[in-house]
Amino acid sequence: MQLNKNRHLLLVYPADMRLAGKYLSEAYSLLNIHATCIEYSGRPPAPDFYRQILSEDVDAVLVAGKKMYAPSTALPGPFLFTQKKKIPAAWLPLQEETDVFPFIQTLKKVHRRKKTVPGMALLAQWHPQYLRLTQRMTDLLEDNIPVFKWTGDIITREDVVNALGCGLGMGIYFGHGRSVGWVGYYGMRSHHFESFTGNPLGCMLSLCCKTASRKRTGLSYAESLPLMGISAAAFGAVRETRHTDNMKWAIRICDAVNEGIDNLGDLLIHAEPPNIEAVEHYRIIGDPFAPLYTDAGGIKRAKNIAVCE
Amino acid sequence: MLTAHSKTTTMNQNEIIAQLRTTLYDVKPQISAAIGNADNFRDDWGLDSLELVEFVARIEQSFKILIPDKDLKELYSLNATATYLHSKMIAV
Repeated sequence: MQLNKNRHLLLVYPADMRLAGKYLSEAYSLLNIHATCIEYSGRPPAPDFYRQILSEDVDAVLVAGKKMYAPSTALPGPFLFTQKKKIPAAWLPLQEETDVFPFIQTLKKVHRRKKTVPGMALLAQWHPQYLRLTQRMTDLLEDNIPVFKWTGDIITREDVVNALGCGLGMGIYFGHGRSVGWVGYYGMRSHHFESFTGNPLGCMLSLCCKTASRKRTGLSYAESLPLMGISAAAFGAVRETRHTDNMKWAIRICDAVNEGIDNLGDLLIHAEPPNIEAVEHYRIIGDPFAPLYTDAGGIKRAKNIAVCE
Repeated sequence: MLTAHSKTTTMNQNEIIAQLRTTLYDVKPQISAAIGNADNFRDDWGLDSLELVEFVARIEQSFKILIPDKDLKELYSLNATATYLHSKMIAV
């Protein structure tokens, strides 16, 4: 799956949300991504369903569905499998068919970015083990891509919300997580982005517990980011995760980015740790093809973000 | 390309240690040449938990194996790590 070749998306949506499927299919078509549409009735299909219909030429799967279904049950993990390959699979929850519009606007913005360099925001809760990890990632990446460390010790919650509107390709958060948001920044919740008017991120990865869980919330934090236009895609866990597994993800993500990986699906395939529990707890929300490129001017804007060092 | 199994079973202890030194160089270049085969990573050379996990993550990548968290305590020196890798691969 490379951004410069024609890609094939399997788009799966409820039969009674046909218009949403049509809007999504048309949007991807405008981005030179061919979408094969499959309708379903009732709850999102089980893994057996995909085993029967997935062909080797499919590059990613996007399952849209009723918001009442949680990421943990909509998909078995961040990947589906054919005989020969692993395919990134994402979930998009919808209350109404028109909920796809802000997502489609974000898709268009991030996919039409000029193919320049990725840019990464490193975010972390103010705690030595997470700050140390972001510093290590900075050391591993900064010779190859622009990296911006906006950790909880040097930037406030309000300023990091503003900073995330620079239009960077990706953001990664380390720290404790909850279904309603990050514990870092004295509690980051989706409502803190309500007045967000910036340029969206390509993807936001929360390498922590539960940001895609529905525990005591109608919509998880990871799901709200693509629906609110903060990022085209989000990556979050549906239950608890282990710090050692997230550290392995971090190291492998650095290697994958340094190798020139340019989109979320490929990044996750290349960076997944070998132990299944480090992977199966996570879900992709939104666009599985989310590009890692930074907006024109995004690097310049990010360099102007003031931090207290 | 060699699989992890064939690669490590055809490597002797010294060859595995040489490979581990290369891996360690990526994690902490200043110690990879000086560290003795029996030296303790944590007690003798002060590797912290992040460096040890990065070392393990890179071993998993280069040897294409899975090292469970419960086995991390067995990887305390180059000798111990090489022995662990060799035994694990033979047991496959």
